[in-house]
Amino acid sequence: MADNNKDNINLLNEKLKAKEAAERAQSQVGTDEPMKLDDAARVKVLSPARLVAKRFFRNKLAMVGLVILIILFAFSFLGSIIYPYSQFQKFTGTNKQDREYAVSGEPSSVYKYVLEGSDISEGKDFVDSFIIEMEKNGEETSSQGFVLGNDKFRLTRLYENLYSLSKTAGYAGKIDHLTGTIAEGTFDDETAAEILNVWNSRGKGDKNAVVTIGDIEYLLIYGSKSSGTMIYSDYPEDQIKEGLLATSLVFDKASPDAPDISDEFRISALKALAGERKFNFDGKDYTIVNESGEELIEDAAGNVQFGISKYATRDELGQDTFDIDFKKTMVGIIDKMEAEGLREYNFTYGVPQLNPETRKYEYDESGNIILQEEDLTVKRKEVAGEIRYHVQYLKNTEVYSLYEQPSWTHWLGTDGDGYDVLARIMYGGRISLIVGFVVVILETILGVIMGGIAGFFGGWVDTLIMRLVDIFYCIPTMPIMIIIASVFDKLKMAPYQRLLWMMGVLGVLGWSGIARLVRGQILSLREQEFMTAAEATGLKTGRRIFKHLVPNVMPQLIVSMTMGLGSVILMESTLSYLGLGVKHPYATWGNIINSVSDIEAMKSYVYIWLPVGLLISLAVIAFNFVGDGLRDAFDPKMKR
Amino acid sequence: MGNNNEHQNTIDNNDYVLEVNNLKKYFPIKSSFLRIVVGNVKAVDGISFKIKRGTTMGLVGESGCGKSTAGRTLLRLQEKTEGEVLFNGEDIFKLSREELRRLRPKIQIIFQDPYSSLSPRMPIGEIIGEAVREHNIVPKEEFDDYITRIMKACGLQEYHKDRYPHEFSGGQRQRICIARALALNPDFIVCDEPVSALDVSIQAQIINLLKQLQREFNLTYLFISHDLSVVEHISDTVGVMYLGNLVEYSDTDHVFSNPLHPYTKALFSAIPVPDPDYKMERIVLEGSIPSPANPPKGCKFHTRCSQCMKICEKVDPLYKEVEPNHFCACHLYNTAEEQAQAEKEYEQAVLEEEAEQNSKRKKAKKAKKA
Repeated sequence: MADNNKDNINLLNEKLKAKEAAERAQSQVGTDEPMKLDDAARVKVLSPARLVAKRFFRNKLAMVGLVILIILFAFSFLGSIIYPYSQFQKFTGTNKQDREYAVSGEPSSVYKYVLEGSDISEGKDFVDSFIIEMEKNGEETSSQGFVLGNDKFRLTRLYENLYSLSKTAGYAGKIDHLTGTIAEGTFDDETAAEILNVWNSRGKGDKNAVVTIGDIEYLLIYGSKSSGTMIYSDYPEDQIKEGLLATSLVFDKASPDAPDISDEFRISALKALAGERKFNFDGKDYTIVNESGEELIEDAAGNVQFGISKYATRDELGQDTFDIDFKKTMVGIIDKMEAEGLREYNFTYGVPQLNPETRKYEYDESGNIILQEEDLTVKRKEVAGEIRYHVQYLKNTEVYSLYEQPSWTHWLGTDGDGYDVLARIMYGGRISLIVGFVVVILETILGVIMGGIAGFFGGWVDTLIMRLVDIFYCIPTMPIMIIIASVFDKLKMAPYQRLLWMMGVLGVLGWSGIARLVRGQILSLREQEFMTAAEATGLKTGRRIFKHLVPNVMPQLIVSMTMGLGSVILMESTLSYLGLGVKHPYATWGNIINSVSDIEAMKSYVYIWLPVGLLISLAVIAFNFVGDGLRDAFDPKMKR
Repeated sequence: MGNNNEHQNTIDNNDYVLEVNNLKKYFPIKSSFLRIVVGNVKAVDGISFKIKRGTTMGLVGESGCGKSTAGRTLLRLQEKTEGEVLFNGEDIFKLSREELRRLRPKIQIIFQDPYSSLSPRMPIGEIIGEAVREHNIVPKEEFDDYITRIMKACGLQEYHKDRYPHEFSGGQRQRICIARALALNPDFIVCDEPVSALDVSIQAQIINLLKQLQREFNLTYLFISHDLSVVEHISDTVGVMYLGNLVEYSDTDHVFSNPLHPYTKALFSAIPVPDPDYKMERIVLEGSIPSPANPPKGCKFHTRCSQCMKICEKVDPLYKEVEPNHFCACHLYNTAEEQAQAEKEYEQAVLEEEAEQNSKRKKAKKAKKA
């Protein structure tokens, strides 16, 4: 067959050659005609592709779209190369911030120290209010004392802010009814006889009786037959003892090697403060010295070991970390402010510096803390009746430049994370555009394969694929994306991986439209006579599909791809805006807007979301313009 | 029907390029819901003919009689239902796909619509040369020159190679179609109404081109047309089709000068004669062509035939050689023997019908009683 074929071919070819030769011989007789102006051969003819291009480039709207797209691409892909900042660069600036350094003030409660051998217990809780009463009246000793039941107390001001509490009346003894004598207490015989006499001669049924002997009043109260009758009386002056010291003074260690302060030490020191200003504790001698209004406790060698002051000074965390010098300074300042009625006071003092990285104070070589002179401000604040003096200073602090206004360094300012907005828009554009292209290409590949198979082979294959398309058509994209995004969240997927998966999912969800388009086109093309002719000329199936069918589907495909790009970019932005798509810190146009999504932020930071919103709209509009332009250009009914 | 090849095999078989024996092509009618075949459109219902090498056979008939289907089926562009098509003595329906693909260049087709038969996104050179390259018809180095020569032979210029179909007129496109077919060096070309879509002056050009090519390259044509004057001009033999059957076949001169079949007579009476004084004796056929899905019994033409007889209604006429090399299927030309046989068959058919009707009635009665 093949040989036969070859012979025939050669025959045809030879015949044609011979004919050609004959014609040439004939035409050589005549002169070679020059080409005429209206010669058809001169007409320049454009291929369909170039015709489309020509029509497309003449479409003004499409060109506007194309120019916008080129600018967008240059902005996103080249801009981010040229632009000095990256999308993950956080910007910081130094800022003087008020920093709380210390708080001073009188202690909020009075410290009470019960002296040894004292039985005072009940009166303790009432001391605070009586001190306040006394201070108001300016009394040295409480005139009346105070009475609690049958007990009487007396509060005595020993020293500034130091008070002692003594019991002045109380249980003195009792009458034993069995013996009919006074069983406890020390009374002289006269007194005892008088008490018994009064008790025995009391009115019938009386349970109480009062006996007055000299200045002293005795109160007799019947208890029971077995316990007897209690005798209460004022104590004689020589029997009154100090039972409790109440003070608002605060002890501070003056040197780091001073011993710890115990309550016993405090009692000794407080006793000495009001008296001889000298005491012995734990075998050591201490002297109390008043130095310009400050009470200091010196040891035998004359070194200041402790300070006593009425103000407690603590750091911002409530810890007692300051040295005595600062505390003394603070007392001086507070006194001055109190005296002059100031609400604010400025002074300079050396402040230890906290290393911002190690969060520890810095020390020099000899182990001393490094101090830096700072301007400190003392502010008097009254909260709930308590007066506090807050020491603050302006500190140079490194802070993230959050929500910075547009400036020459950051053309569109910075966002809530201190990122440069312009840089993020550029990188976001990369992702948004790439997502658009990848998804559309994926959709198209899937759609062309599925639609092509369905259209070319028809029959049950067509039915099956088209039902699949129907199913994919009725999948609601948004809820599915929300579910898938939650699955991604659960899997704790890396942002980059998540991006890839999202593109895949969008592609898989979106191919059905293109499949329908391709199938419809191929169904109609398949029945065209040029396909029959291609079959009749014995072309292989693959060649028939790819050389005859596909080029004829391309126009519609290109148009739908271009149109699809816009909607995919919109979809991606929507998803990212909802927090379902590309996650922070990867920038996309959607999540840049999301970063200022609440209404207040939107009002304040227009410079963040407005440019991105414009870019999204521009991209979508431009893709639609180009798509429209392409559709018009591909339309054969358009004027040539 | 006269479907047996009763031709006298006096001539050597090799001289026939194509031999069609009892070719049938039915299109199934499927119910819309269950897709069950409920009937067939009998587009081609058993046709037989032979075409000699280097000759043209015209195939005429009114619209819908199955001419085009016959043309496409004998190219195996669609599968047959029955019968065989011998091309150079080889049954093309017995070939495998690959063998068929190899054979394709030898049998070409030219379509009626030159607008849809050229791929709009391919330059002319590619349209013509694509299959040439595919089948390695000429060596690669000669390819370009070969295409040029073919184009020139078909009246196209070399600069047309890079142009696209939309830039050509209908006539030129038909030339391109012819060039595409010719380039494959075919033995046989089916011309499926190649000039019907063209205006008359262009028709003449194309017909002349076809004739010229036939002369030069010894081509064989099957020329399908409903235009009788064109067929008379180009054909050596003519077959007349009616409702899927060949009713008459002979040399062109025979058929045109002495049509035998009543249908042929009616058809030819419609040919306009370019003489204002000539009074045409038209035989007007009544009614329209019956549906090929439900063709009438007996002679398919009997519903419209002016010379219809009793037997025509029930008995198929034989397709036989009435005159030397003049075939016809009509009871008018029955010999005495054949007539007797036909009458017998007719009576039997009538009896069968009556029996059938009786049984139907019985069934209907039973149904009523029930």
